[in-house]
Amino acid sequence: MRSYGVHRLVHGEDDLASPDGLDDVQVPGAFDQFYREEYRRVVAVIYGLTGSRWVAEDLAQDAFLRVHRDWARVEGMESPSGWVRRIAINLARSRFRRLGAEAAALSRLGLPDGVTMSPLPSEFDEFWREVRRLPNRQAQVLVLRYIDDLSVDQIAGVLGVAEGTVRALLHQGRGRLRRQLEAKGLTDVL
Amino acid sequence: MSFEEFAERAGRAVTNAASDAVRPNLALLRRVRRRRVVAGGVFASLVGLAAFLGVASLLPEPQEPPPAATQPTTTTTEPSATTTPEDPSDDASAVPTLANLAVASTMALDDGATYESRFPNGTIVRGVDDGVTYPERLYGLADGTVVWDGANGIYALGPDEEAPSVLVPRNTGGAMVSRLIGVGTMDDAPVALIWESRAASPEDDNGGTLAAYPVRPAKTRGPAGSVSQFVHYPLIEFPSAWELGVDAASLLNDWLLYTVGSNGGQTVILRAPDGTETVIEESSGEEHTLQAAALAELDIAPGLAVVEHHVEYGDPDAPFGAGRLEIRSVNDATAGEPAWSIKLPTDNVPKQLTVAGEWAYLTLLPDAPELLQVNLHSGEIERFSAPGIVTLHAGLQPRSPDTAPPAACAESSGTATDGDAQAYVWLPCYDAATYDEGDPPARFWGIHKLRLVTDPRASTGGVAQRVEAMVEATFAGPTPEEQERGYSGILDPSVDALVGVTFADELVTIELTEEGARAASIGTTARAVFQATVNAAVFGGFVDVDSLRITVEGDCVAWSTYGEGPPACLTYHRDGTTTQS
Repeated sequence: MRSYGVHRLVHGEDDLASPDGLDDVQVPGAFDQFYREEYRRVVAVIYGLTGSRWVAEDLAQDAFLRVHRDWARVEGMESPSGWVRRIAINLARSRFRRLGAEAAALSRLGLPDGVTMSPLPSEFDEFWREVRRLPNRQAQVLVLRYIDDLSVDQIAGVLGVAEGTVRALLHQGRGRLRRQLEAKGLTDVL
Repeated sequence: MSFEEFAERAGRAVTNAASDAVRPNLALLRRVRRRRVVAGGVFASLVGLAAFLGVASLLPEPQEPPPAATQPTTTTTEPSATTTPEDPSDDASAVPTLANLAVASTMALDDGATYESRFPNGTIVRGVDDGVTYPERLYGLADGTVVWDGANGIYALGPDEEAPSVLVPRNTGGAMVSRLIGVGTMDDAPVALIWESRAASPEDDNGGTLAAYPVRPAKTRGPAGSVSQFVHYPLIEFPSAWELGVDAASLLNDWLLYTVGSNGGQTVILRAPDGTETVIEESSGEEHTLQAAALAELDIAPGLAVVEHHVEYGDPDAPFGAGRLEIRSVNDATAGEPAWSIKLPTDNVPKQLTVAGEWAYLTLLPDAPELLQVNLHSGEIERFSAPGIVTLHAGLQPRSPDTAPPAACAESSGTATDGDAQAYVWLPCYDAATYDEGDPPARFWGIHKLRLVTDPRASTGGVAQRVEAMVEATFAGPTPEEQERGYSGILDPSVDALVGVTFADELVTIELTEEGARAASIGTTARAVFQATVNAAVFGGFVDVDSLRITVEGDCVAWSTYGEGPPACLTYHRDGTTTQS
């Protein structure tokens, strides 16, 4: 389980390593660190919500761009990490912007990239596909819980809702997801 | 394996896959920083340009377009940094400039705002973009009003107004989420087209409505930050907001153009006045994407035309796809075939298309500080640099705003004050020419005070009795003479709607019968008009009243639930706000 500090996220043992080859890029120091630490996590969260690595990357970039513009204010927030997740989730929820991101993402398919996201094992792929069929808020809390490994109070902070609401959404989401998976024949999960 | 263990493994699978493949792209931020440096100089230049040009009304009128017969049926121009006229205007000064465009930009500002909109009349609006709103999507309307999606709702600012007002409040609490997706005209009056996603609860997404909101007269809107009276007209109901949503819409009187889509694909549909629908364009999203479409009355194509913007992929020199603007005739034998097209000089994905007169405006994705202005007759293209770091969007403020109210329903003069033996009866107004006894009113123009009457209980009754008398008179509706002038009642006079009125602590409570509540809640429009009229009658006639509640046979929550609102007791306040308890 991870915990949020005032300015930065404290990672657990299983967290992602810092990216390489970015030392030549000059951005404000605190933001630079924040970006390096959080970017992949935010991409993973949005991937869980959209099912597209390309869309997830574009929306995550968009979210960090907004934070970067407003960094002087965001830096002083109790949880900049929560704020960037909230923006990214809002962006993912907005179909119009998602389509715009998809347009940009699709255009890059023809460009050399060299790195692709490994396909998930089919049972996990099916699991997240069913999560995305849940109502928005239920899907969001499940993604934040199981991909981002956040606690109930952290999820409440990200989504701007009460902890009781998060517990209720988790309960409803799990129940509905179980039923969906059962209907799909994935009974070994239950 | 338990569900919990499986879910945790599924989560780790995603984070591991992301860890292997995803690289942060700080190059994007480098690009933004470079533009921040440039932006200051560009902005100073634009301020100087605007000052030099003066107000929009001083600009010359655009020339009349050449006859349609002289226009090319199909013209494709090459990308160019300036202009590529096929039939250029003789008078370059006729081209609009930034001086008559409302400009929104996103940037980091000293006061913590992240976007700023500047209007030709000097008004500046700032806010924080949290990803929910579309502050950069400004739409210009034919009467000069600019509407946009702001922090707490959808706002409107007329050319003669100094401060924006709320056209419709945004409810992000789950009851309804409203988004601005286009503009148009109904009966030649400007309307904003708004997607209302009916999220009845945070756990649910159960469809939505495409609705038109009149932006004139301004009195139908509330002050900024308030929840006020407003009227709207549902156009199309959709069963599922998540799987099928409306991305963009345009309305030209009784013709409606809208795009619906799911992931990666879009369909442009034209709905005729008789309700028949025609698919104008379909896109799978793999070869090209329709970014925007708008209806326009152009003489290039017979009758109505659809102006579309496409982005096509596969060009290595255009990493975001190559843009193309097309005009299609939609109501003759050539429907479906592009009558005219132009390749756009940009490799960025335009985000919003606005058509006004012979001009089309395209705004670009956030990392391209540019606005394209295309003359739909000549193909001439003007590129405006943006004052903002990241984006520029524009609404139009034309030179001759038409703000004339309908001829009928002229507002009465005079003032009624509390304590006088006089009071107004408040009635909704709509165009008398369209009045039909058998049809519910569909074209309201705000709430008007009409009849100055003697308050029957002014000398003997308390506030509660006097409010009751006025509400009874309002429910009773207009006289036949008043109906001829265009006024309407808000309830069928035969309905026994009112139980009574109480007044305590500056709060008026109006108790309706079940029958009255049902009659007042038939349709979204009818309910909005009912609520607005009652509010106007009470707050407009009685200065002692600060708040208002409506109950249904004693149950306050019931009034909200009758209107598919949140299960809460709503209190309406004089300042236009609404609170829940």
